[in-house]
This record gives sequence, C-alpha cells and structure tokens, in this order.
Amino acid sequence: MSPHALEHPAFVYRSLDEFVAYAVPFVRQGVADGEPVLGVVGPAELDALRSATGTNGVHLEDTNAWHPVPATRLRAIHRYVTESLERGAERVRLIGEPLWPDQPPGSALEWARYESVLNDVLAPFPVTLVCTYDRSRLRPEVVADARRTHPAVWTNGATGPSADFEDPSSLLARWTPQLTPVPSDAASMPPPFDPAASRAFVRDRAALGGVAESRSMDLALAASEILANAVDHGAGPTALRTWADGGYLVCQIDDAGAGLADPFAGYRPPGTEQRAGRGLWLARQVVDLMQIAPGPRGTSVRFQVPIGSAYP
Amino acid sequence: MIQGFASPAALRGGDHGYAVTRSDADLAWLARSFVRNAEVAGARALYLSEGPTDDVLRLDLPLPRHPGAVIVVEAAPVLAPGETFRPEAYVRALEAAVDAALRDGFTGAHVFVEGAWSLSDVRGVEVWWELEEMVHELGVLQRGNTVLLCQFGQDRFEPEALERAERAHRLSVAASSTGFPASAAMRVHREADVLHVSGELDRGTATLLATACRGSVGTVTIDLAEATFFDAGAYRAVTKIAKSCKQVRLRNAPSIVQRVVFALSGEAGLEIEVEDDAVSMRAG
Repeated sequence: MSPHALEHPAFVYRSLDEFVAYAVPFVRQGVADGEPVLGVVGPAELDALRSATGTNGVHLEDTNAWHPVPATRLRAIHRYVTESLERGAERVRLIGEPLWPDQPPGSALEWARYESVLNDVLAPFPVTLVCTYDRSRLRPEVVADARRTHPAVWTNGATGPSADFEDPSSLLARWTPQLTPVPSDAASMPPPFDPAASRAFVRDRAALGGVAESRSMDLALAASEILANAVDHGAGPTALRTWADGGYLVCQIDDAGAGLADPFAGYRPPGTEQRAGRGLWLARQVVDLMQIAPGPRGTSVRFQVPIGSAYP
Repeated sequence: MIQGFASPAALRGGDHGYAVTRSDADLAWLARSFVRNAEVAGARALYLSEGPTDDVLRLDLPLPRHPGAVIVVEAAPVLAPGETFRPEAYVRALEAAVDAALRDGFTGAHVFVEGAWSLSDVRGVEVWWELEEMVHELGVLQRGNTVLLCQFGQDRFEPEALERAERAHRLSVAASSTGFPASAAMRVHREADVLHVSGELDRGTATLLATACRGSVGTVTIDLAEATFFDAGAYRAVTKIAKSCKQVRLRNAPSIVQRVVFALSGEAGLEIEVEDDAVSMRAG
C-alpha cells in the first residue's frame, strides 16, 4: 500500500468492548505518528474514546450532531482532510460512523451512496478512513452494503479485502432512489418555470407549510439550481411541485432529460470537479436530502427541508 | 452617462433607461418583460413601435388583465406629428401619456420606445437624440410611477449612435434573451467606489454585475445590503471578477451569501476570507 493512498475499510463490530479494542489503538497510533485524528462516532463510543485517549491531538465529535446530513458530512470531512494536509500533515486519520435514519424516506440509501462516494472524493489524499458498523444495532442489509462500499473490511479480528466491493460509479448508477408517488394534492407551479417566479413559488409554499425563513430560502436556492441544471442538461423542466410529508416540506422538479451522465455530479467538492457540477453540489449542501431518480419519461429531483426547525 | 444597470423587472418610477438588443428574440424578451413589470407596478404599458402596430404582434406581448393596460401605437405620428420633430410636442406627448394613465386609474405610464423610429424620414429627428440626454431633467418622469425605456437594435444603428445612446442614459437595461436571461428583479448602481446591488443576484442577473465591473482593477467593493438572493451563478460571476480585478470585497453580505460562499469555496487560486458580515476574495 502506497503511503499516499486512501485506505477506507469498514470496521464491523458486535459490542462496545470490541469497538474499544480496535478503535483505541487505532487512534493512539495516529497520535503517535503525528497524524491529525478525527473521530465521529455514537455517544457510547465517543465516551469510550474520550476516556481512553483523552483529547490531546484528537478531535472527537458525536455523529448525531456533527454534520448529520450526508452532503454536509462529506464536505466537512473533505475540508478537514484538505486543511490538515495544507497545515503540513503527511497523513490524516479518521474514524467515523454514518447515520442510518429511517426518516425521511431515502436517507439510508443516501448515506450508503455517500459511503461509496468517499472512495472517489478522498482518492487523491493520504487518508485512513475507518467507517464503523455496529452489527448489534444495524439491519443486516446495512452491513451487507458496507461490504459493497468499502474496499476492505475488518471483522472478527482481521482486515481483508471485501469480495463484494463495487466500483463507486457503477454502484451509484445502480443504487438510484425509488421515489414514492407525488401526492395528488401537491401544489403545482404552472409553466413556464421562470427562475425568479419559481423561487417565489417555493418560498411561498414553504412559508405556508411552516418552514423557517432561513430554510425556505435554502429550499428556493436548491430549486433554482436544479431548474438551471434541468435547462442545461435535462431538456428543460416539466413540473415543479411541493407538498408536506412526515415533518418535511418536499419539493420535486421533473425534466424530460435522460438523467445525469456523471454519477458523481454534485458530489465532488468545489475545486475537484468541473464547474458544471457546482449548482447540484450547492443544492445538496443546503437541503437535508436530495434524491435524483432517472425514469422512463425523464428525471425527477426530490429535495426537502424540515418544517419548523432551523439548520441541522 | 451610465450610472446603473437593471433587469427589466427592476425598473421603477423615475427610470430613464436604454437597452441594446441583438436579435428579434431579444426585443421580444425585453418587451414582454417590460410589459409584465408595468403590470406588476399597476402602470400602463405604452409601446411606441417603429412601424405599423400590427408588427408588434410578433412580439407576443402578454395579454392585458385590465382594459387599457397595454397600448401599442406607432411612434412617429405621436412623437413627431407632421413628420417633424419638435421638442415641445415630444414632451407634451409624454405628459399626455402620463396624464391619461393616471386619469384611467393606473399608477403611471411605462413607456417603451423602439429607437429605430428615429431612422424614419422625420425632419429634426436629430433633436430627439439631444433631448434624450436631458429627459431625466423633465418633470414628467417624476409624476406617478413613470418609466421611459428606449430600445436600440444593434444591427440598425452605427456604433457611434449606440455609443451616443449609452452616453444619453443613466441606466442600462438587460436585454439578452440567450442563455439565462436576467428575468429576476436586480439593480446595480455605483456610488463613489462602491457598487450597490439590490434584488436577486442569480445566474441571469449576475451578468449585469459583471458588466458593471468591466474594466475595474484593484479592489472592487460590492455592497449586498439590499441583495435578497445569491446563487452558484452569482458566486461564479463574483469569483471571475475577483480573478480579473485581483480582489472583490462583498460587504453587508446577507446570510445566504455567506452560506453559498461557504458551500462553494475551495477553488484553487482564490483566497476567501469571511468576516462578520463581509467576504473578501483575492486572486492568489
């Protein structure tokens, strides 16, 4: 393994003791090697790491609070890595636990996609990123997916290559969201979809739905970027609808295009991809969940913000 | 002398602007935007066409929601009756248009003039050009919600005439229908060395900001206190300005600007510094 290569194994464990037995030496080794160390794990694991390793040279965060949305977590990790390297670090060490929320629908799939995207986004950097999976708490399919999104897996006391690992670009193309039908009572904006008028429509609907002012602006910003993307790449928008669902104000924009040619569009941080992906990147950054679903008659982009609360 | 830039949706009472169109599609987009803005402002849109009014059908102007909200007339008989241009007749025509609009219950008159009317065989039309340079001093623009916009087709006028049109007006109005048009309401005006932006700075209207900064060197200061929107297109425009001028300082930046800058920063060759309510971008 080249000292400059990304290492991205999944660490599958069954108990807190097993976590401590692996994670504490991992963190201590990083500190001993002079590597910046970031740990983002659940509360129990956080307490265990804090008491065993202290905080000197280690940055520890609660996974439920530290950028609890895939897109912003990706941004934060990328920024931590690039800033650490700019400050002179030769290698960066991270241990992180993704979230697997049931709500809103589609979140778990987006976290799984994020795990796969990390292989691409962090590929240029000398990073060791261990993703932790507590088998005692997680659904078996989540652990099975970890073997598809990580090139290596540590389990039962040893690390080995994952036979199930899939190339991220093909995995992203295969793991596309299955959207539930748009409710019949969704508010629909009549065409044409002028950007300013569309933003006003989205903000009005969000305000009526009880969304905080700052998040209404986020939803309108995302809508504006997705409309622009539909004009650029999707043969133009065909529908813009909003509705409330399970504590979220949901917005969906459809276009008649064939979908994204690049499965990483909107996932790669600025500075690492062509400028064409900036709008989708920005949209992902400001909403809680964004799903892009290609279909037989075009592509649908669904995105949402919570009703009644401010930033995550 | 141009002091400001505006999208058609940002035109407001007292404005005297000019717009250069490069195609029929530009003219149609500009005219439709102008009429829609007049309607939103509760003003009458008065369209003075170069040729017969039937020609204006091709522009597909919005249907008026109120009787008399959109009136199309041929320019020459109104502005130069008897095929002779007289300043007093021109001013009287404008005043009569505003009076009639106010009398009919509108907030004012938004007057659109196809500048090519001046190419017709009218005696003394040269005086119209001189008058354009001082229209802002006429009281008629201060009555009610009254706007005067002159449109010049790039292929109809010599470059010297277009330069003169630019000198004669204080406000340049966006008129390009290609790419992402400047359909949102946005204005830029210069005060001392600071560019003040009001309204929605998006992918379409960012072209106005880029135009306003053309030729600037050193540090460009942009005040965003009255900006209400900022997107990836606006960010791209500002970073381009920073790279060409060396430095851009966005002051009084609202939270959406800071949020967008935070999300999109990271490009090589550009240093970004975020303070309390300001963002500085420096070409590295």
